Amino acid sequence: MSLRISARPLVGGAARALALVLLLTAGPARAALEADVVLVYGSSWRQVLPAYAAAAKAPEAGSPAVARLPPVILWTTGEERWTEDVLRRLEPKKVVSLGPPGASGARLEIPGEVRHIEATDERMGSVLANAAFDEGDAPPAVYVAGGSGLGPALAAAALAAADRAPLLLAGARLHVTVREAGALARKLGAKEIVVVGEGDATALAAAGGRRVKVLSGDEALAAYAARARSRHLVLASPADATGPFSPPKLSLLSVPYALGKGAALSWVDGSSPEEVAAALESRGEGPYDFVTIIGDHLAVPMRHVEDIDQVAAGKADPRIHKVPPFVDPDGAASDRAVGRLAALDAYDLSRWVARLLHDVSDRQDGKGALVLANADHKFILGEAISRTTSAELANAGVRVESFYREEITPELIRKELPGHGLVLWEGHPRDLTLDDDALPAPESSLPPATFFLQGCYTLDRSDPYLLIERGATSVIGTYMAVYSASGSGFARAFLSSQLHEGETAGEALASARNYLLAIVELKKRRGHKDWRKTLRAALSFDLWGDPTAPLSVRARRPRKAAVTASLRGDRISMRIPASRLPRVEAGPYNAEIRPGAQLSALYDVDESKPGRRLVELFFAKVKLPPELGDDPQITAPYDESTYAWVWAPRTRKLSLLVHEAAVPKGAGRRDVTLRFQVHPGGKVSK
Amino acid sequence: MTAPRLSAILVCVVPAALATIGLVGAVSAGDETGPAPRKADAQAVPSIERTVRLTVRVEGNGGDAYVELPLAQSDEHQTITDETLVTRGFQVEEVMRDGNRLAILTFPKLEGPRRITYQFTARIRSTKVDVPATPVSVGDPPEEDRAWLRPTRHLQSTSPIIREKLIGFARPRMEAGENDAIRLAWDLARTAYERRKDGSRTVLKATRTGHASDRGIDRLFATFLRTSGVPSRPVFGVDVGKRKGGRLTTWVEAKAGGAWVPMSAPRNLWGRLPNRYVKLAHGDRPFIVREGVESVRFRWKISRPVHTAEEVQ
Repeated sequence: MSLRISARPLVGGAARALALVLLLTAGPARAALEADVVLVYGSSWRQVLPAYAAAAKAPEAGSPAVARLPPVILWTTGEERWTEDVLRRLEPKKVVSLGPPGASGARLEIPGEVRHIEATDERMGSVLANAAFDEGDAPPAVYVAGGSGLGPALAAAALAAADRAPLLLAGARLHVTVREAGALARKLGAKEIVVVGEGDATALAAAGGRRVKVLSGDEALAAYAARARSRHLVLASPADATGPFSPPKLSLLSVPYALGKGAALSWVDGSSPEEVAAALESRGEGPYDFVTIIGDHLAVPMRHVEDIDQVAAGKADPRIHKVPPFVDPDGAASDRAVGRLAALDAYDLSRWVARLLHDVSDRQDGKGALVLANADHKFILGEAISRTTSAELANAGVRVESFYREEITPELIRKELPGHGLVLWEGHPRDLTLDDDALPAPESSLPPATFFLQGCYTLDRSDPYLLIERGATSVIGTYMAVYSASGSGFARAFLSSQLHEGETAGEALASARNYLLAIVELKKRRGHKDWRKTLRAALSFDLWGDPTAPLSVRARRPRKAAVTASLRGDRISMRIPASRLPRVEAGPYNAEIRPGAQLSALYDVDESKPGRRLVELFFAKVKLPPELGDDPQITAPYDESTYAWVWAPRTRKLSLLVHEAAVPKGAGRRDVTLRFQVHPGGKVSK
Repeated sequence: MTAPRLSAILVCVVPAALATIGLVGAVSAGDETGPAPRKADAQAVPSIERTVRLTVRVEGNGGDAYVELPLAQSDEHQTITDETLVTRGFQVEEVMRDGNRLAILTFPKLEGPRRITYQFTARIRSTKVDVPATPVSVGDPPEEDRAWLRPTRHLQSTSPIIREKLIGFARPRMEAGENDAIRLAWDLARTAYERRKDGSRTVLKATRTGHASDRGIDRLFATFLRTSGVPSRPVFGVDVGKRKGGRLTTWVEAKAGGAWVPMSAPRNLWGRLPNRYVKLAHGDRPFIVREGVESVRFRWKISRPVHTAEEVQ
């Protein structure tokens, strides 16, 4: 069944009134658009933002969401394939399809009952308000986004959706829209009109015939944040929607994502993400342990640093690298779980946000992990570490398929890529999605999977965008050159944190970064010279995805227990289990390590034995109470070269790294507990 | 857009006359948004005539084989005659999609290898048109241009890496009063990348490394055009003048003044297309689309057409 509503450009008030009457009689009264999916043709914010307000419902009990919004998917010519794919996965029974006049004729196969609503940019707010709300709904207000700026309009949309209230977008004549809002408020029983932007409340009240409150964009964001009350902050840049050279308009999707996640929302225009978060926290919002950046690095800039390794080597013209937000170039511990949603355009991002907020898995999706390592035969040490990561996944009950070196062919990639919930690529980067130039493989849609692209500059290639376009939910990659041991060590630490501690993607990324930073400290203590490459790797990795997302494959309690640590008073106990994962070998390297143990480029050469045995490292995180100060120091009855730590004052998390040499000789194959003393340091709170 | 199914093509051989059915001009008129390109005064270059044979070897794997083969079309640059398509058991349907004329070939449960042979004769003329200046655009494009402005697999025109590169290059020149998007994209693609035979073919890697192959430079040019709001599309064609190596070649079409004009930054073809190139398809699409098969390979044979004459005594 297909119901069509059309509000083409109107001439004169009578025609407008007639159109509204037709609209109101087109369907049954409802408090919000009755839709399992809202489709919007094009990416005009004047079409999209009122849809958020019109489709929002109260969140389900226990949900962190500020509002329950159906997937709002933007599409246009050329996006049919992937739009239809996500629609197939969502299996909607009722779809509302919005667009400018004539848009519903565009070719798209839409499942379920479709209701077409067409209106010009100028009329869409009014049309949707009248289609979604009815007398007696009594929303707290009718919202009006004043002026032409997108920032206030986004804030107004978030606030309106949070309040399940209609949103009208003003054009050049604010008082005309306020007058219309007044009529709507009277009909719905709303007590006031809230104008987000600028305006004279008294004069506008006269126009609207209702009390008018005027909020600035920042005040609207603060009012929305008060409704969210979350430790999750979403940052975007409304400036990414205007100007020449194809701005991607990603900020349009900040509203449904923030609503669905129950996250606060703010803009970075002219400031860095770090500055914005600090400013919000200083005025009592947050604290924000999770930050999602919505926008590419032109919209939400990244810091740039000279290549630390090349600078130390005296290179005159060192490479310049991007550093992910909230990552300290000097190596201070990471203390926030951060992810970025960066797609090629708002169409791709709308599907991505839909996947992040709604269950799009289907029974055909592969649930296991795929590990592809060392396809170019160059990274033997990384391959050895990667083999232990496969073993770690298997130990936690994850179905793993691992391929190495010449086993990895274009045909294998083509066949296996769509069938897994987690894909770990380790080695020289290549674009897994591009294939042959003239005869590329068919473009398969992908399950909502995590792709960990462990190699050099993997986030500066084509793959991340194409993987996201086709259905991936997360891509983890790098902005710099990464040596294989550090890179594979990072991937192993990331997955260990998810498998053994249940960390989210963002938390695991911060943990893995802190692991490499602790290695830097350990290497310095041990006199190793090449710690800068490890530091560079620590700064390299970024998450394109939801920092609150759990592990993307099914896991269970590990068969063999992992390394753990606990705090009692001022003592940390680290328990090293006896049982080990299966021995792995790659070229001259071998490792037989305990679950949860970590690896790096450190190895032993035993003249009496062939090969190079990788040294086990034990890594644990402990939250310290305030009475242990803001600069705690660690001592232990082991050589100082066998342990190091990094400390995150904001979260009070200590990340402790221990070299296997700290394990007493003669411990043999039994459980061992290592003990560390925490000494209060710096400023101590009683 | 699917063209009416041509029942006559369901036989194995396409009658030559059908080649002219449903033609869409490669240099087609669209909305007149500016001065239309006009044919430049070119030296009189004679047209040439060549017979092109494309042999495609499809290896089945027991699945339902699907192959999309582009068919040449007549336009101001080329006239296609004597067209045959020998499908050897494949069902064939001709469709028009995005201005491309395609043979859709299907074979249920195809096992083992099968050959498809496509042959035509092309009379090819050199094309040279003036390229009107086209401003960098702001705002939403006309509906008919959307498909040629969106980012695609190889033309990631909204990537921040691409936008950063183009903005950095164009901003000073625009501040100095220049606003020809095609010239800006052309100059950037031609001057900011080292042209290398083994250079990158992907626009993001090329932008990071600073070197690109000819294919990569063509893609960069098309990508920068899209970023600037100028509709563009890569073109697949066959180089009938090439004696060795792969004859499949590419260039770019930019929409300027409402018409598509041929360009190639690495070969310095500004509004020009020599008579050695036959256009087969446009758009960021594979040359041959296939699904449900083990593999596809193809090869070309170019020859001078043989005409049978009658001796009158």
